[in-house]
Amino acid sequence: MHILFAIIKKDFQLILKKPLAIISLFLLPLAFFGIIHYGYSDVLYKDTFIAPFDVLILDKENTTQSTFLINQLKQTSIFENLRVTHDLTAQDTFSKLGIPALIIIPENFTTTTSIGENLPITLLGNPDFPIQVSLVENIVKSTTNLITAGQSAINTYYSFSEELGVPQNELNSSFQQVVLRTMFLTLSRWDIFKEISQEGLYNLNISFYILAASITVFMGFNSLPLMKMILEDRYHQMNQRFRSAKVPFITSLFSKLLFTLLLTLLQFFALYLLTRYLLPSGTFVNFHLMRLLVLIFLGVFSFTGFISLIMAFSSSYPTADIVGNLSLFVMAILGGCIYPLSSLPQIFLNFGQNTIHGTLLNGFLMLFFDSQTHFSRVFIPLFLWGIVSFSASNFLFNLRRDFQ
Amino acid sequence: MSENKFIAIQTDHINMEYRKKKVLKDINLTVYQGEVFGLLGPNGAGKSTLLSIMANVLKPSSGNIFLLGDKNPKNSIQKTIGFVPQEIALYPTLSAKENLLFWANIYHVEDKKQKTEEILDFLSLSDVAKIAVNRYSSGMKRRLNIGISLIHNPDILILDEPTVGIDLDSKLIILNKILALKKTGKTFIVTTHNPDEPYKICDRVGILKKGELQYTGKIENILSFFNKKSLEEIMS
Repeated sequence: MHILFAIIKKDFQLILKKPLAIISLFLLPLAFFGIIHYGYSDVLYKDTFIAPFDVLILDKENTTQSTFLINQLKQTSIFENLRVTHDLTAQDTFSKLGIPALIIIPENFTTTTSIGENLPITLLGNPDFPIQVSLVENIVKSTTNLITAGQSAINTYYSFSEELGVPQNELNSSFQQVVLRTMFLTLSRWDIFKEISQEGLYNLNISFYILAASITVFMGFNSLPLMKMILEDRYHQMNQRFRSAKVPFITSLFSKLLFTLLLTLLQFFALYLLTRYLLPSGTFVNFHLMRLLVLIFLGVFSFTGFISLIMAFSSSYPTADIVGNLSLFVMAILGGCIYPLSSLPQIFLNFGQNTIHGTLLNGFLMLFFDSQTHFSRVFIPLFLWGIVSFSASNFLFNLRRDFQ
Repeated sequence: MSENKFIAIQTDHINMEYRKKKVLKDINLTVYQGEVFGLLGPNGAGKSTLLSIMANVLKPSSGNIFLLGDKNPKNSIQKTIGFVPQEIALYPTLSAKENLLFWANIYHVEDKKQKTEEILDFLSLSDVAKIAVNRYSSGMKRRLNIGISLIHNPDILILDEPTVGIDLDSKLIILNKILALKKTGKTFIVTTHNPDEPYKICDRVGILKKGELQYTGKIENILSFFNKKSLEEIMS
């Protein structure tokens, strides 16, 4: 055990002696993390990915009833600002003002509605805002559907009352009043438009999603210094001293895995504390410490196995360095660590989810947001990645030695 | 000389094959406690391989190593032997003190700070103990390279070309340190290319050529044995 601690202590000393290493292992991740948050700050803390927008209503009717109708629309939080105008030139100018949509309530709208001969509501859309226009269109359609539904109910009552023998003049005298009352009651049922935030696979907190993605990416790159340290030991003839001191290579390798594990834990907790205490990340996110340790250890194990495999394929260390960096980067993209991917063909999505990055990201998301799911879904693939990579690299190294 | 001394290290029919080539052929060598034994020979003779086998760095294809009479020295080899590889095996960004403390931790040395100070003092490196090794001269690095192998106070020191690539003054310092350590009872097995060095420090020498041990004995008798005029001729 003292050998493990001695090597880990020495490796930390070596890292602390290299300012560039400190920058790349600690300051760069923090900077990268900060930049990502800054860059996505517009969407990070919103409930919807469509930012609230302005809508203009040209109220040609300009009555108490039309004002009531507009007030109902104002309750929809999707509109940042529902502006009302009576200026007819607004039809020509609204798009130049950068307003996504103009709703025109025609003259005598409520009067015609009350007698069942509804004049149509007109929607003019700004072609620069197709999504917003579509959203307004849906809301207007829903509104008119509600009115039609109210009218149908009244017609049913009217016909039913007529068949029961209520005199025609009595029915007509109260018809208009009933229509308006029913229509307003119907429109008051705005809860039909209540926004419901749909939960995804995990009840995601975006900041912690970025934390999960970032630490996965950094873990990948942490495996490179580990391999470099092993090679440096060989370069400095340390292996001879280690063998003479009866320190097996597996002990040296294991100590470096532990070193990378500690390094990653330091990175993780720095980012976790940043996310939890400094960023307006909303929901408090807790996690199971032992699962975190196992997850990070298996992540380090699989990444170092992968890098070892790259080294076995490469003709020299510089080649391995370049190929390793590039392949880690590609894997990070496919694994969804740089940006959540959804528009790729399914085959790529499946592949990406089963990369080390994809699996590890999934593991961190489970850790933060879904403690119920069985972690073997993540632990087993990561372990397999590591063991297969290490075995294959060992085979290739031996093969190469035999051919030399 | 040898009859009255205890055996420090003995190789018993050591053979080594590397890529189907015989690098060492049936080496039977005995080194006694308290002596400096020089292993000499031309490049590629197998000197470093034999030292690496003695230091447990390499496993022989066949044969055994006996340490201090122990016929199964696997457990004692770590404490008994200090190995100095031919290359400078130090962490260049760490200081001399940090390098020594690291190996003291590996060997689980008791009172490691005191031991570290003693070695630094013995090698005249106390003044630069806290300076990174990559700022040292070649001679200082060589001295520290030897110092690392002393940290666990081994009985036998195996030094592969301890004076290669350094200036004359540094060489003399290192040779004097070896002689000083010899007086404390330590056993040395040293390889060298320099034909003068064996005369200065070695009690006995062995000549290894093409993987075969052709001579072991006192250095005074070696010229007549090979019928040569100089050690340089024999080592070429």
